[in-house]
Amino acid sequence: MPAPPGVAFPRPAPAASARTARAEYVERFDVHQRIQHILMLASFTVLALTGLPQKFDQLGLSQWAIAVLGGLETVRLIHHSAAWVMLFDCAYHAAYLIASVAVKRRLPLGAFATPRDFVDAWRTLLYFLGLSRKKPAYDMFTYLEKFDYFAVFWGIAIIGGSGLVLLFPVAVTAILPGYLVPVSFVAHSDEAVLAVGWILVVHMFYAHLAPRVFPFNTSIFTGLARRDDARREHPRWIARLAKDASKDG
Amino acid sequence: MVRRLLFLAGIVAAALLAATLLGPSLRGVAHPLVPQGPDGTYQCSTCHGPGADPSAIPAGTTVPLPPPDHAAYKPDSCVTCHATVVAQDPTTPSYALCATCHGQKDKLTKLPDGETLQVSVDVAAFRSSVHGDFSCTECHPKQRTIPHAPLTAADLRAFKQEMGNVCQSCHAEATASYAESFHGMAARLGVSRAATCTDCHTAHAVKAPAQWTLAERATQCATCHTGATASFASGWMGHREPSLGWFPMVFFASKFFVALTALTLGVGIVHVELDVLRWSSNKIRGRKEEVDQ
Ligand code: HEC
Ligand code: HEC
Ligand code: HEC
Ligand code: HEC
Ligand code: HEC
Ligand code: HEC
Ligand code: HEC
Repeated sequence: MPAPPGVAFPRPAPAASARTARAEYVERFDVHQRIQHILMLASFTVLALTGLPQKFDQLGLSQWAIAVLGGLETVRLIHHSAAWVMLFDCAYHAAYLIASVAVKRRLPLGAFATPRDFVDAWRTLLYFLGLSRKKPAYDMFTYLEKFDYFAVFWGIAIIGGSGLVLLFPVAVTAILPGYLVPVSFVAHSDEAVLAVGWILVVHMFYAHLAPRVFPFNTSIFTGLARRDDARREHPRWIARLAKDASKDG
Repeated sequence: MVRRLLFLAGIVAAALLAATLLGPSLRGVAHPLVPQGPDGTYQCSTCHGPGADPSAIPAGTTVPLPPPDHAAYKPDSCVTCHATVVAQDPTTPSYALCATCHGQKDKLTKLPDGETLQVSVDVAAFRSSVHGDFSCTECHPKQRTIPHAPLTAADLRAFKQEMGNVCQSCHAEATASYAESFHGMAARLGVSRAATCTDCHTAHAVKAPAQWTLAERATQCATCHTGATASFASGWMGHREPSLGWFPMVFFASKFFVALTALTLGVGIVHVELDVLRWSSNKIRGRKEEVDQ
């Protein structure tokens, strides 16, 4: 699942201070972000498992899956239910962003790209190719994590939008042109394959297989990251936390 | 000279033999073509009736006389009982025969599950459809015998689905694209309410795409998609692949998404691979990952 939104807190949120007081850990995701990730993970998995067999219905495996789940009509019902869960999750996230602005009086920009991210990406490439000895120091979220997050925005816009067109084709075409339905058909299934491919290859690698986190990066579920790990992976974030703490001090 | 005569005689003899062998069997299978009047009624009396026209009767055949009780039958009623006489020959347009019963309005029958099947057919609409000069039996070979054999389909939907195969036997391309369409996929996976060929095209009033208005299409869609408008119907691509000239937006969208998927996944995969390579090379050379603080 893509990294949930980062709200780059200037200092540890007060409620979290008790947990993070154990200096070993730093708070990385608050409770809303963790719930949002679980909802996204669950709905995405169900949507993929009920959607892919419909796209690749000629495969024996798909036909087996559809039969096991109780036939195409049931599969579609499950797919639509999971879609509503995902849309709810998006609404929850939008409300969360708005609330963060209202309460904290600042835009939660931590997970949005900055020019620095492009520099980081370039320098990481140099490092991968052996043209640089050192990896750049990342902030709370690396450029790749930010891309993961941003990809959900575009993914939801395309898959969610086209999905709603397919769910209400008659109502939609009453206002918009009819060719939108076959366009949505193409967009929905192709973008879904992209999303599933990305999750399986890139997201799963960085959440589970990458040597730094193997076998499982738990911070999106516990909300906590080990300070040592974070210092290595997100040095600029930890440095900022330390600076803020001393300023408050 | 003698040889040549013998040769010719041989050919003549062979032809005569063939004619004798084939003749009776041909006669046993096919009744002579029956001429139709301007209104489509079969002119049985030309050969069978009182005052038959001897020149119409094929040479070498004897026309059986109708039994005496037949005097009571009207000239246009003959085919209702002697349907096979005209229906067995596929080149004979038998719509007139079938129309004697099916042209009547509001004829119903019951299906095994109790549902009613409307068996009246709008013959005028059929005649002006793309299949207008087909004989009914081309799509309904089983109904050549009258009265027909009992129906095999259990209910109305099963009957339609069974009959949908009829169109497929002649329209291979449309059938292939239908199988990939949403409705075809759903039908194959057992959703009986998914549209078959005739749910969209009708069975007996099939029109060529150019003559088939969006409003008429929408009426068909609306039997399942409540409230379907012409705009909704305009979104159905028929059975052609999108191209620059046919639903260009769909064409561009599919190209765009293929490119987007290839690009994004490509970058992602390369990123993962480079990361693994650098990590392994660090390991092999015994170097620690260093971060630029
Ligand atoms: C062109 C002349 C011709 C016309 C018109 C014609 N028949 Fe015949 N019919 C024949 C001949 C010849 C036979 C005998 C065929 C044979 O020997 O097998 C025959 C045989 C029959 C037979 C008995 C054999 C069978 O095939 O069942 C019936 C019944 C019959 N006709 C009914 C009709 C009816 C009903 C019509 C009008 C729809 C009709 N015919 C029109 C020439 C005609
Ligand atoms: C109610 C049904 C019915 C109608 C209508 C009917 N027939 Fe018949 N027809 C029969 C039957 C049954 C026989 C066989 C009777 C028998 O052999 O005793 C028969 C026999 C015949 C035969 C003799 C076939 C033979 O093999 O000897 C002819 C010829 C014939 N019909 C022509 C006609 C023509 C022409 C008409 C229209 C004027 C007509 N029929 C209308 C039922 C019908
Ligand atoms: C004597 C009247 C009569 C004639 C002639 C007739 N039909 Fe029928 N047909 C019926 C009746 C009655 C039904 C209702 C089902 C039943 O009772 O068999 C029917 C039903 C049907 C059905 C629905 C499926 C089924 O088998 O019940 C089809 C298709 C059909 N007819 C086609 C034809 C065709 C094609 C012809 C011409 C070759 C034809 N009919 C000639 C009386 C007729
Ligand atoms: C191009 C193929 C085709 C031709 C030609 C055709 N039919 Fe049909 N017919 C069908 C199909 C397919 C159905 C199945 C019903 C459906 O899907 O709506 C059908 C159904 C029927 C039925 C059952 C009632 C109904 O409408 O569903 C009758 C009766 C019938 N046809 C009679 C006729 C008669 C009479 C003719 C000739 C005038 C004829 N058909 C010509 C394809 C054809
Ligand atoms: C026996 C073969 C046969 C069967 C069965 C048949 N068709 Fe056809 N169909 C044809 C032929 C031949 C044409 C004329 C093609 C042409 O004009 O280019 C045609 C034309 C058409 C057209 C117009 C095509 C065009 O490009 O103008 C449509 C639509 C169509 N059929 C649909 C159907 C449907 C729906 C069914 C089933 C109810 C059906 N056909 C059953 C042979 C068949
Ligand atoms: C969802 C509705 C729908 C279904 C189901 C459907 N068609 Fe069509 N079909 C269309 C439309 C719409 C067109 C006209 C496309 C256009 O405007 O050119 C069409 C066009 C056709 C044509 C004309 C030639 C062509 O390829 O464009 C044929 C033949 C045809 N259909 C046969 C079939 C057959 C056979 C089946 C069943 C296997 C079938 N259709 C199922 C909607 C449908
Ligand atoms: C015999 C009923 C029937 C007819 C007629 C019919 N459809 Fe459908 N169609 C279905 C069913 C069933 C589904 C599956 C949708 C569902 O499960 O809610 C479907 C799905 C669709 C979808 C996909 C929407 C989705 O929910 O994914 C489109 C688009 C569509 N139909 C368009 C059309 C058009 C356009 C026509 C007329 C040319 C048409 N249909 C005629 C039964 C029909």
